[in-house]
Amino acid sequence: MNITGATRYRIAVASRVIAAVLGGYMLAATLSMALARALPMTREEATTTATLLAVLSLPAAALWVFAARSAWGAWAGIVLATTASGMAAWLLGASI
Amino acid sequence: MTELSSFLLALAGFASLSLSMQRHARQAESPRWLPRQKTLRLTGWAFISLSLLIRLSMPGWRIALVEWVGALGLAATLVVLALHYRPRLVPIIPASAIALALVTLVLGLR
Amino acid sequence: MAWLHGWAGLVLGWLLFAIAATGTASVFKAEISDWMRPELNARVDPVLALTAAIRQLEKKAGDAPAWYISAPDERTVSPIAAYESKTAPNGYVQEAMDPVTGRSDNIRDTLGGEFFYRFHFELELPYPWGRVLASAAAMVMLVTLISGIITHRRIFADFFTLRPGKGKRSWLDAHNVMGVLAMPFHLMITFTGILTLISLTLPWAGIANYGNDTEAFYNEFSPGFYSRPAAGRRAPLGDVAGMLNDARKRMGGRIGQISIVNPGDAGAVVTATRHDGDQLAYATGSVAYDGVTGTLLSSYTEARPAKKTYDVLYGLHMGRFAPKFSRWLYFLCSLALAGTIGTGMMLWSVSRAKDRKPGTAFVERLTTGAIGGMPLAMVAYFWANRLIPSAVAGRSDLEVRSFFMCWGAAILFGMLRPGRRGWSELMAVTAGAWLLLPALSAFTVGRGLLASPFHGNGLFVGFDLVAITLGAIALSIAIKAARSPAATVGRR
Repeated sequence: MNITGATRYRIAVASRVIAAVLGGYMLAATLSMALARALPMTREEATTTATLLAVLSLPAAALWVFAARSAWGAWAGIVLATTASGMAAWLLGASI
Repeated sequence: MTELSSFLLALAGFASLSLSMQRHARQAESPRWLPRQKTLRLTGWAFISLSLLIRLSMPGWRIALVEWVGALGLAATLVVLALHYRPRLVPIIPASAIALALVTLVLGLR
Repeated sequence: MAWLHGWAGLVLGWLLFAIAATGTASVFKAEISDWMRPELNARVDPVLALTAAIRQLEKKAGDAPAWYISAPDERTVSPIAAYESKTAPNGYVQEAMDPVTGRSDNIRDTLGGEFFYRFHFELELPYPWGRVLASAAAMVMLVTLISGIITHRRIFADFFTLRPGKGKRSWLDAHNVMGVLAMPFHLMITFTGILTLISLTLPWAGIANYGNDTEAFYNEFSPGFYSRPAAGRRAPLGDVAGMLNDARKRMGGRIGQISIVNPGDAGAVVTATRHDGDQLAYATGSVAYDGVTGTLLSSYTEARPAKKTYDVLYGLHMGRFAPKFSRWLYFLCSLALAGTIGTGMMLWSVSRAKDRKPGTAFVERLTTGAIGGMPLAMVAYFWANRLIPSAVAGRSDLEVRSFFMCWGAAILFGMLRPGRRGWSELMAVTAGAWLLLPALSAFTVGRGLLASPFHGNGLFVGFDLVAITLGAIALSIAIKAARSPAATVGRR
């Protein structure tokens, strides 16, 4: 297998785009679920607050993905954060 | 009337700020009677803060804040256009805008 | 970051430009609607207009499950009703009504400003895809804005800098000036735009707390919403005017819209919502009455902090609170946003013009028609409104079709005739169409710049003045593009 530099670059870019779009959305979704359970308010107020806060994580994730040194590092950060907030949501008893 | 005087103060503020920058001072052929650049910068920020205070002195601070941010953009745009199309007008903007702002304020108080 | 800014902006740039341009028009949605229905002139007290509308709806839409009517105000003269109808082609009817008689058969069938407003976030695609795509575009916009701020290191040093007539540099300066000076607006409008559709795009917090118990979800989210099933017994509506006058007193403000659920049934409910022109937050209170007896069923004012915050953010996007001065600021800032996107796309082509790659040429050709064609498509919509006779069936669809046909034609034209010649010719046609619009309007309906000042018709005068201004801008672009190759796209 012989992958040229240009192809390698394109694959890295495509992988970052996927990390930003899918990874960013997964992060926002899991984070909103965890916050919705964790915030000490009535549940409809917690739902609104969690959604407002979680929206901010999407552009933050996208910027992180493109600012990270390597595509691997970008993925690692997103996967770690998503897993953590997903675990938190599950432990706090979020229904799906 | 406070809307107008607040806008005029912002205009004076941005004109002063632009004149406090070397490039634009040269562009506007700054006359000698203008204060030093550091003073211009300070007064510029002072005018802008004052324009916010005046705008917030009226009831309904939330809408006022939104309008103030918009008015700020409009004032800065006017300074940018003046700097390019009428550069020699810029040094007289601060004083005349302040004078007009005072007039509108006094008229509004009456 | 600069790389991200350039490419992210390019991928959805055409879409973002269309969204920004129609959003700009939506600032004056009410005024555009009135201009497009020149038959209507009388200003009537909102409660009288609403009761006139209800009397007509009782005659022609008695079997609809509910009527929704927006009240006229100082910006628009006519109530607009929406209801389900089995005979309508798409299952529901939305129509403006004469404020005096409540009839709608003497008014030309048009979507008015509603078309721009709908296109702004639905993009003429089937639900929910248009909204999802618009949300995704807004998210890309937000990322582009933030990466743009990070990229633009000399943001304060270049704050006042504009150097027209210097080729790529002047595109860059224009892009920066429009982007930076209205930056608070750009960030606000993009973020709040995402929030308006958030219950569709990010429903997970609600799912985490409510699972599939949607009934509990809706009850807890809008406690002011009173509903009950139809009783199955017929009963005429009671004194609706009395209920609405009472609602005005209770809410301490004007009525924005009313809904009448189960009309003609003993279980009828009349709900009045507060007018959103009176406060920053969007729709914060409502009062519900028994439609037959007029008994108060519920009265609600939003006081929960998080929901109120959301309503304020939503209201900021809609800009309905804005008094005249700030409505113009909304208009100018939105125009600046469209300009920032447009100049950004030009920059992309200009800075790559030397490569002469087929992809770059394609982007440049597409940019010409997709961006330059938008103002032409918009004016075509207005021309269609004045030219298509009232009696033609499916009139409002024809108006919309002329918008898209014109846009498509402009894109095709841009493909065939790229570069500054294409720009110049396209802008010249656009300028002609905008400049002649006041004349066409005066000729066809007789209300306009020449006749109106004597009749106190500010709206028609204002519309003509805006049309002339836009035409003048297009004309100056056409002349500039024809004269100086440096100031236009890279081909010479």
